[in-house]
Formats: sequence, C-alpha cells, structure tokens
Amino acid sequence: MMKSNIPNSTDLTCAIKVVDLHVDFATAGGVLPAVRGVSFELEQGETLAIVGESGSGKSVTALSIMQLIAKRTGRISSGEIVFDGQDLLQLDEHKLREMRGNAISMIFQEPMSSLNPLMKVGHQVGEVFRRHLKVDRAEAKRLSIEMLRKVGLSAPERRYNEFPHQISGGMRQRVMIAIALACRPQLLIADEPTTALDVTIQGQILDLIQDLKSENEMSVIIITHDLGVVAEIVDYVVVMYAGQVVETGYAREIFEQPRHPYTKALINAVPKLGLRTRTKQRTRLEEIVGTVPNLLALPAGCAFCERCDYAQEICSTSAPSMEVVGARRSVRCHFDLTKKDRHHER
Amino acid sequence: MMLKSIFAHKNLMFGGTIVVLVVLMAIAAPLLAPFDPVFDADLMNSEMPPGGEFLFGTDTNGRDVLSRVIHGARISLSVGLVTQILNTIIGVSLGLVAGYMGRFWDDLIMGLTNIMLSIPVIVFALAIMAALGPGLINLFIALGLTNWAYTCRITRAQVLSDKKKDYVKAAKSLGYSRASIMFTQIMPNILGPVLVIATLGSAEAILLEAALSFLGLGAQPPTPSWGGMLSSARDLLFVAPWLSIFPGIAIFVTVLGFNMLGDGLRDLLDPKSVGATKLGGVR
Amino acid sequence: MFAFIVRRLLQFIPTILGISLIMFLLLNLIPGNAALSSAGRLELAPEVVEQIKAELGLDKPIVQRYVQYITRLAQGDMGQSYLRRYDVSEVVFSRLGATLKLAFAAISIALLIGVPLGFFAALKQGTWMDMLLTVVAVGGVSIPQFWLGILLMYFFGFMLHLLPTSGYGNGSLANLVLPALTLGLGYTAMLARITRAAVIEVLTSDYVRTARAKGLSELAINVRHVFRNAFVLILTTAGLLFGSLIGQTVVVERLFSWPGIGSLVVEAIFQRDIPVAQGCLLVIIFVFLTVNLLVDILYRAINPQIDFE
Repeated sequence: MMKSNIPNSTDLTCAIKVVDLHVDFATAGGVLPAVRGVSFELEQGETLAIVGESGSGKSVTALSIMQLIAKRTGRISSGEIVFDGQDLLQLDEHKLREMRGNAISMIFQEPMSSLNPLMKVGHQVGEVFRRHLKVDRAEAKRLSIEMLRKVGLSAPERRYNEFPHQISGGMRQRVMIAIALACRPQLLIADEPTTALDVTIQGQILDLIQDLKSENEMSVIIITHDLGVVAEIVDYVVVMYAGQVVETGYAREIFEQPRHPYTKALINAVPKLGLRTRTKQRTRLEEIVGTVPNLLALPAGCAFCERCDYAQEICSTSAPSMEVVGARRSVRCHFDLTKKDRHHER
Repeated sequence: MMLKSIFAHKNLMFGGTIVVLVVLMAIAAPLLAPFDPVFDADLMNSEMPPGGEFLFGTDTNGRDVLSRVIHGARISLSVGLVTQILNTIIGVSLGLVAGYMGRFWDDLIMGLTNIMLSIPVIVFALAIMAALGPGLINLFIALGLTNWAYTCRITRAQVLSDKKKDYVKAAKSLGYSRASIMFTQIMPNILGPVLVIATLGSAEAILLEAALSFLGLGAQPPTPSWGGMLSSARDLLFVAPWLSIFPGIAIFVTVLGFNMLGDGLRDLLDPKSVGATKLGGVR
Repeated sequence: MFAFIVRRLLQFIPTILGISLIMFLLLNLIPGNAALSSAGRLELAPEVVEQIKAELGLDKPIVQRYVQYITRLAQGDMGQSYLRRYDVSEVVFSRLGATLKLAFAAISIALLIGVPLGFFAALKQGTWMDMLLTVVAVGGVSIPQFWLGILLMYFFGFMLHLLPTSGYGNGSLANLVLPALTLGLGYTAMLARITRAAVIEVLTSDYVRTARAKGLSELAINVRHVFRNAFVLILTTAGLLFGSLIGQTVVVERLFSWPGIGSLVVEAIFQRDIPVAQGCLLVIIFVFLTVNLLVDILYRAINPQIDFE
C-alpha cells in the first residue's frame, strides 16, 4: 500500500512538516529533554508511523503538533511545525482552538478514560459540530448520529443516548474516531489507537481508520510501539529513540532493509512481519535487552549504544548525526547496517 | 511535582517541630512557667492586660495567663496521647477479632464500625458525657472510646489480605501461634497507617477536648485547660480579650502541628498520595 | 432510581435501630438512682426515689424499657423530661428549626465560598495565589471553631459594632451572620481543599485532554467537562463533612446562645436529663443520616456509572 509517486518536498504536497522540535519537561530531577531535535515531513494523503518504545518521545511529538502538552510541566522550547503554510507554534491560542478538532484531530490510547464518563456519547460527538460548524442542537444531533453510523456503530440512534461505560472498548474507540473525524480533518493523529484494545478489535479499528482516510482524503500519523500492528497500512516510518529520530524511510524499505540496529531490533520484535497479529498467541520474540536511557543523564555517545549489538568504541564517545541516505531516507548511526564492510557483530 | 515533594517534607518538618516544641513545653512546664498556674492567685493583680510582669496578662483571679497556657499543654497532650492509645487499642483489637474470627463477630464488629462512622464523633462523645456526667476524666473516656473505626477497618483489611498469603499459611503449618503471626506479620504492616490515623486523631481529640471543655463539660476550673480557660474567659471577652486570645492561639498552633505532622507522615508513608513524580501521560 | 431510593430507605431502618440501641444502652445502664439524685434534686428519701422511678418507668427491666422506648419512638414519642415533665419530642422539634437554619446557612457559606475558591486554586495550580489559598485552608482546618467564633464576636460585635453577638433575635438575618460564619468557615476551608484536589484530578484526566483536542474553549471545557466530574468527586466526601457540621452546631449554638437543639443538649447533659439528651442526640443523628441519604441520591442522579457498578 505504498505510495508510488516520487515525492517532492514542495509545501504544496506537504501535509505537515516538523523541523528541529525540542520539548522539555520540568521534573523533580531537573529539566528532562523529552524531544531533542525531531524533524520529519509527511506528504498529503500519506500514513506515517512514529515508532518507538515508551519514553522515546513519540507521544510528546504528537501532542506538540496539537499543542496539548501540559503547560505547567512541559514546554516546546524550539522548532517549527508547518501546517497549511503556517507555523503552528506561532499561532495564538484562539487560532489553535479553531484548528484543533477541525483541521487536525487526535485520538488517544485509552478509549475508556478519553471519553467523559458523565456525558452521553452522542453529545460528545455533537460538541465538535456545535463548536466548529456552529450548527444548532438538532442539526448537531443529526450529524452526530450520521457520524456514529459511519464509524460502524449499530443502532446509532440508541448509542447516541448511551454513556461511555455502557459500550465496549472497541465501540468507545469508534466514538473517539467519530469525534476526531467529525469535521473532516486534513490530518489525523492516532496515539497508540489500538494498544488498549482486544487483539481481534485492533484490526477492525485500523481498517476503519484506513477506510475513512481514503474517503476523506486526509493524512494520518499513527504513534505506536508495535511495528507489526501498523505494518499493513503505513506508507512512511519515523523511528524514534530517546527523544531523537534515528531512522526514517518508506515502510517497505524500512522493513526490508533497516539501517539502524534499533530499527532492526524493533522489527525482530514483531511476530511474522506484514501480518496483523489477530490472535493472542505469539511466538517467542527477540526482545530488546536493556532499558531506555535516563533522559536526565544522557550518555555522551549514541543513546542506544548500551543496548546495541553492533556498538564500537566510537559509539560510546561520540553521538552520531543524522545522515541522508536516499529519497526521504535517513539514519542516525555510525555503522549503517547496509554497509556490510563496516559492521562487525559483537 | 518538585514543589509537591518539598511541600510534603515541609509539612513533616514544620508539623514535627511544632509538636516537639509543645511536648517540651509540657514536660518542662514547671520550669518554664514563671508562676504556679493554680495557686499563684492574687486578686490585687486581677485582669491585668498583657505586658510587664505578666507577659500574657492575668485572669479574674489574678493568675498568670502565660503560666496557665504553658501548663495547659500538659492537658491537651494528655488528651491526644491517652485518647489515641485507647482508640488504637480498641481499633486494633476489634479489627483483629473481626478479621480472624470472621462470621458472626465480623458482622457484629463491622456493623458497629459502620454505625460509628455514620455518626459524628462529637455526638457520640456527647452521649457518653451525658451518661457519665461532666468532668475531664469522663471526657478522656468519651474521646477514647469513639474514634477507633478507621483503625479497626485497616487492621481487619490487613488481616484478611494476610490470611490469603502463603507465608502466613506456611507459618501456621509450621506451628507458629496466632499471636506470633500477628506480631510479626500484621503489626508491621499496619503500623504506618495507624500512626497517621493516631496523629490526625490527636489533632481532632485536642480540638474536641477544647470544644467540650469550652462547653463546660470537660476540665473544670481552676484546672488550666485551654478550652476551660476560654470558657471562663467568655463573659469577659469585651473586658479582658487577652484571656480569650492566648489559649486560642495555643490550641490553634498545637492542632496545626499535629495536622501537618499527620499529613506529612501520610505523604511519606503512602507515596501514591503525593502523586509520585511520574511522567505518565507525557512520555 | 426509585428502587435505589427504596433500598436506601430500607437500609435506614437497621441503622437507626442500631444507633438507638447503642444510645439507649449508653444512657440507661447507669443506675436510675444516680441519674435521679444528680438531676438537681437534693437528698431524697428512698421511698420518694422509688415512687419517682415507678412514675418514670425506671423500675422495670432494661429490655422491657427498650422495647417500650423503641415502640414509642416509632410513634414519635421520645418520653418525658426527668426534670420538668415536658414532652421531649415537642421541645426537641420546636428547637429543630433554629438548628436547621443555622446548619443550612453554614453549609451554604461553605459551598458558595469553598467550592469556587478550590476551583480557582486548582486552575491557578502552583502560583502564589494557590499557595496562599492552600496555606489558609490548612489553617482553617486547624482553627478551633469556637475560638474563631470568639474572634468574630470581638471584631464584628465589639470593635466594629456591626452585628449582634448573641441570641436568635426573632430570626433576624443579622443574628444569623456570626454563628453561620463561625460554623461555616472551617468547612469552607475543608471544602476548598477537597475541591482543589478533585479539580486537579479531573484536569489531568484523559477526557479533559480530549475536550482540548476538540478545540473547545476553556470556558466550555471547565463548565461541561471539569466541573461536573469534579463535583461528583466532591460529593463523595461532602456528605460526611456536612454530617460533622451538624454535630458541631452544638458548640456554636452554645457560644452564640442560639436556641437550637445544640444548646438544649448541653443543658440536658448538665442537668443529667437523660431523655432530653437522648432525644436531642437522636434527632441530630437523624438529620445527619438524612443529609447523607440526600447526598447519596444526588450523587446517583448526576453519576450515570453507578447503575452498573
């Protein structure tokens, strides 16, 4: 499902462009740099996956686009996020509100806690129509029911009047999708949309996102820790580790020929690449040994060095920089895995 | 987040300091107090405003208010200590009985506990006062018998959860007695929460003693109890306001100390309530 | 909902029975003799004592007395005062109005000031205003209520001559102000603390993030998403808080010579007039339980989740 057209990087076809994004959090232990210079571009109509373990900064990156980072603790310290010809980071709060839920929407990991437990689900969808389309109650209700039907809820008229605890987890995520897609956004950000769901439901939700994507001509960013889940539907992949992008590339290239040892490890952690894991039964996978480094005390060299099977001396002393190695393809490693002469397994 | 953890320690430090100072004041009362709180009465010095020889002024009988406030710490602290020891013993014992005996005893005790929880402590204390009559000793009894419900619940819950654990079963099969299991397994686990409850309970008991003594149901004159002093000062409020000011400050500061100490201990022992420095949700 | 109210009302009966039994035992286990002789009567001849006991029914066995007591109680009869031979129910209920008025005024103060303050502090979390409010609230929880009353009396009554410091004043509003403030301010502080914690919990919830992601205005987020959910959290503790407030009316009424049940019960305890004390305390408990019942019903009415738990 890869895009066949050769990409060009004029802003006309660019859905969103993130340039050198830095996000810091104030913690008890000091300033924590959660995102350290992240850049990527997404073409119009593409589906992009940001992949990484928890703590990699992928969710913070997504929240930064929406500017939903808790102001009390987090701060976007520098960077640019270009959407629709303007830098989102320069917009005032009023303009941002116009944009959220309208041109850019987001769905979250926990469909249970992401819906207001005291509000009928129909009203939670209707709220978006009333906010952005300025329609009256009756019209909002009509549009909401239509939207609930579109995301595959049976008997949407009845569901409209139900509360979140009365419907299943999969249905709740469908409601979240209905909320997000109500105003036909140009960009949908899905933060681990299937992680909290049953394996059998996961595929359905991804299919739904995919269907609505082609119908609405929107671009999609999926945040995930599990490459396998999204393998079938993504066009382009950004791999993140310890707040940085370590590899980017078209999905097929990344899967067939990962260049960064971390990407390779992530792929090896996926059961039967290319197939969605629809069953709970998983074969024994290669796990990535070790843990993400403490962002408060980052090593001098490569952040992945300690867990890397290919690490050399230089890796612990000097941090590699991002190198462009092809069309929209780049990698941050001293020893690109594709350059066979340079890698020695430990 | 950082602010919060400092704040938790601030509570502990600040509250702890106040409590220690009040305790020292109570112990060293005869040394600190310039006069005897009861017998140094001189009608010639009646109702002298603060200043000079009498830093906090004198009362109707010419007694030094400062000396009476210092000695009052003894009564308030005894109230805190005695009532919380009584409440803790009752609460832990009933909790153990309910947890171990189960069935009828469990139902009975938990029913009683729920009733105790469903009635304000002051109402129960008043009922006991009504039965026993006014007086400081009766007040001790009333406050010592009425605030054990939380301790009882926690103890029972701990027994029930420990009953299921393998090491307790193992200890039992090895022939350890119930008593030794109780003291080695249950007690260490409930120590923290019980301490917090007792500290916060002390604050409540000191406030209640003051209130009931103020109503005339507790310490009777000339006993230097803060609540009792406020009670006899009431009619003189507009004439000799200092009689109402200083004992009130003493109660306020002491209760504040116990409350802050209790909050601080809770935050220390139960990191969850401090909202432990988590980066959850931001990743 | 209806079934819930019925079930909750049925739970009321054993609770009130249990409480009345405990009260009865507590207040009647002391020998009637002692109760009578300390009841302001001087040395009485033994035969006179026996006569009075028979008159009051104190010579019968305790079980019989309890059954009789509870039967009469069910009919609204709380017996006769030991001292003045008046009907306890009549006197207690004639005093109830004043107590309820005071409690209601105090609760209103706590709700109208405490909840907005807590909400405000939560929205300004971490600023100096929040810190100030937090410190004031901790102080407000520790301040002895009657002493606060004394201070208010001194400043508003004596120094400023603004408000009356004692009595019911035929129900005038001016007389209500100081007692209501005295009773209410401590609970205002507690409610502010509870509200602040609840709002902060809700503000960090995922559904508020969703509301933000929808592009809603802060006002819409606060009104539709934050407040309602925080209120549910607040309600769970508010019931207990108001119960304790009703208990505290005793102290405040005495301080301000407010002619409610609280003043009556203190007098009765002094005079060892057991039936009156018992009646007063039972009515206070009854009010407390009723408030909690109402809070429960309200909680259920605004929280749809309870249905399925």
